[in-house]
Formats: sequence, structure tokens, C-alpha cells
Amino acid sequence: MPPVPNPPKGGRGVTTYNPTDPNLADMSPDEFVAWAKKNGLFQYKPTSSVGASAGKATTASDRLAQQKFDYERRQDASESARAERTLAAYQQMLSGGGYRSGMDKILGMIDSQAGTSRGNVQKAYQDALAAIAGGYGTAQDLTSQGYGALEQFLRQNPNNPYANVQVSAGSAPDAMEQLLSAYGVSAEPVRAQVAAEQQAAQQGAAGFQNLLNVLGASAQQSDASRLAEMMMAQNLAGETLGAQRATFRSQAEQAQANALAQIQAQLAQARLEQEGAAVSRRQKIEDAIAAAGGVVPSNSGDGSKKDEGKPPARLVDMLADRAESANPTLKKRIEEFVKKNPNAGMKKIKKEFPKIAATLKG
Amino acid sequence: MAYDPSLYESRRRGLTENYAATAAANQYSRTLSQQRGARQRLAALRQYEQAQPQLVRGYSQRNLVSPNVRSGIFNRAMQDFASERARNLSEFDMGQAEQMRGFDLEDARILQQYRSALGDLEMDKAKEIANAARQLFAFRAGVA
Repeated sequence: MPPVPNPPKGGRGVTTYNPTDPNLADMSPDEFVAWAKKNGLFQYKPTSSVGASAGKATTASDRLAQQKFDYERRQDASESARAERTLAAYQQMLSGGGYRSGMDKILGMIDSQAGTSRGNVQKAYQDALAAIAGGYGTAQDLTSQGYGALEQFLRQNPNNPYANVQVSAGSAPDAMEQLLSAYGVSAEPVRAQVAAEQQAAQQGAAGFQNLLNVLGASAQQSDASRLAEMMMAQNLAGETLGAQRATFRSQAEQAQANALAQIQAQLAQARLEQEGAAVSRRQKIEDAIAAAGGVVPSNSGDGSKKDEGKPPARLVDMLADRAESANPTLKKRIEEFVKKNPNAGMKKIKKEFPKIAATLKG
Repeated sequence: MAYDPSLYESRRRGLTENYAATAAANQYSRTLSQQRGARQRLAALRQYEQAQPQLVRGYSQRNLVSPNVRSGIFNRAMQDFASERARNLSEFDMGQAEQMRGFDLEDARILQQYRSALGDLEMDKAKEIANAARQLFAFRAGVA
């Protein structure tokens, strides 16, 4: 209740009522009556007193009642105008989207932040790929150097020492032919003996050579086996590095996809919260319009300019949007899927992209 | 597990030292055996050289040999003497040759074992380098 103004003073030292007094204009009728009574202006009685005075001389009390009546009419008109202005403002807020003021800015900030986060994820992914490629190159070089040194060693050091062993039967002892000849004795039996001994020595040498040949062949086989082992190990090392690279790339892609999906989910959640707040605010305005006896504008929509004239988003379109932030492989898969299945539903999308489908709001 | 080349140098040094010691011992044994054989052969030759005049003298005292006499017994005795000398020397030489072959074979075996061990060592080294490279790759990729 506004403070009761000081009673205006009349010319004869009596409190009088001035209708143009701005303090009085803001007073409710009851306040005014209280104020008038307090200042002894009149003994107010409800309207019957006005009718009862007809035909009689107009008293100060009647004039005051008339003035009160006029005042009430003006107050009613003022309040009605104010209510109409409020109603119009509410309707304008609905039809013009004013109730979303600030919200679109927040949504823009959310989108911007999501874009920045996506960029960071992409950069992290590219950095990871670069690290994988660099690490793979280094590891490959080291492996090649190690096995290259081994191959050089094996080829420069053939391991067959048995090939260098000298084998000879030796020279047979002489048959003392000069001595025998000096005594006129035939040396023929002795020569036969010496020949037999020489043959035995040669057989012994041949046997030893055979032994060396067997051992040498075994050593060569061992050398060839080691060389083959080297090549197998080198191939295995190369294949292992390749498999590691594929695994690391896959992990990086998975991490990127997870991070992007998380960003997307957070973005969707943030948008959902903002849109929920907008809906709540809109509902309150509509309730207020209804309570004021107004009509909710039929073309109000959700007030978001970006959605004007757009049909409801389809799942496949939402999936296509996800391709923008996906890694190249996933992006290609999504694009091909959307191209082949332009009207795909949740079931089909879920079958191909279960993780993404879980984040789509359809 | 980081690659430490010094471990391989230590192993290589051990292998080389072991090979050198074993091979040197074998060579020394071979040389001693060869010298011993040479002395024994020389002694045998000397014995035959000393026995030969005695053999002629014995037949001569029995008049089985002279500038004008050549008996079949003497002829046979001289042939037997020469044959036995040839056989004994030949058997000795073969025995010596077999001993030398044994040393040569041991020498080759030691060398083959040494080189084989070096090959295994180099193989282990290359594999460990490859293993270290794999771990390095994992570190570089940020997954280790």
C-alpha cells in the first residue's frame, strides 16, 4: 500500500480533495476512503447514499462520492489498459520469440564451444597419428639396422671351418731299393709292401675327409638355418610393427570417435536443457496469457529463427550431421550409408552405427 | 627392457677368450704330439740303420753272403728286413697322422662352436633390438 499522502490543505484551512494530485491517483479506492475519513472529508457510505440524495441539494459528501466514482472509473480504465499492454507484450514475446532472448546466444556459445572441442579432438587425433607414424618409422629403421647387421655378419662369416682342414695321406717310407740293389737283392716284394702301406694311408685320409665333409655339410646346414631364422625373425618383426601400427591407429580412431560422441552428447544435453528452459518459459507466458483472457498466437512456434520453415529433423539427417565431426573412415562409412539408405530408421542405423545411434534423439 | 649393447660385448668377449684359450691349448698339444712323433720316428730310423749292418754281418760270418756269393736266405732276410721297416714306419706315420687329424678336427670343432655361438649372440642382439624398437614404438605412440 503506497504511503498515505499528507492531507492537502484547502484555502480555509480545511482539508480538500484535489483530483489531479498524483499521490491520490495511485491510491486504491479503499485507501482513498481511509484517507478521506481520516481527514474528516466525509462519512462515506456505499453507493446507495448517492442515489438517496437525488433531488436534494448536492452536499460535499455527494460530490466527494461522485469524485470517488470518477476516480474508480479512471483507475479501472488505467488498470485495464495496463493489463492489455501486458497481454500484448506477452503475445509479442511469444510471436516474436522474445522469450528466447539470451537463450539463442547461449546456444550459440554452446555450439561454438562444441566446435572448439571438436577441433581439439581432431588436433589430438592428428597428433596421435603423427606420433604413430613417427614411432613406426623409427622402430622400422632400428629393426632393419639390427637385422641388417646380423645378415652382414652371417654372410661375412660362413661357419664351415671343416673346409679348411688339410688332409693328406703322407709320403710312404722308402723301400731301401738302393741298399737291396747293392746286395743284388730284388726290391719287388718290398715295393709291394710299401704300395700296400701307401694305399692304407690313403684310405685313412679319405675316411677322414669323408668325416670332414659330413661335418662341413652339417655346419653349412646350420649356417643356412640361422640365415633362414634371421629372415623369419625379421619378417615377424616387420609384421608385428605393422600390426602394432594398425592397432594404435584403431585405438586413436576409437578414442577420437568416443571423444566426439561425448562432445555430441554433452552438446545435445546442453541444448536440451536450454530448449527445456525455453519451453518452460513459453508455457508460463502462455499460462499468463490464458489467465489474462488473451489468445495464444497460433504462429508462435518455438520462436527460434533457425528452425523457421524447417520440417522435423530426421534420424538419417542427424546421422549425416555426425559425419562432419567424425574421423575420415567413419565419415566415409556414414556418407555411404546415408546415400544408400536415405530413409533409414533407428533400427537400421543402430545396426550399422550402434554407438552413434545411442546418442541420437529421434 | 631397454637394449644394452654392452651386455653383448661382454658375452662376445667371453666367447672369444674361451675360444682362444681352448684353441691355443689344442694347438700346443698338437705341436707336442708332433714333436714327440718326430723324435720317435727318428729313433726308429736310427735303430733300423744300426740293425742293417749287423744283419749283413751275421750272414757274412756264416758265408751266406760275400762279393761272389748271394744266397737265397740272405736275399729273403734283406727283403724281410726292408719290408718290416717299411711297415713299421708306415704304421707309425699313420698313427701320427691320425693323432694330427684328431687335433685338426678338434681345432675345427672349437672354431665351429665359437662361430656358432657368435651367430647366436648376433641373432639374440638383433631380436632384442627389434623388441626394443617395438617398445619404443609403443612409447612413441603413447600406449605403453
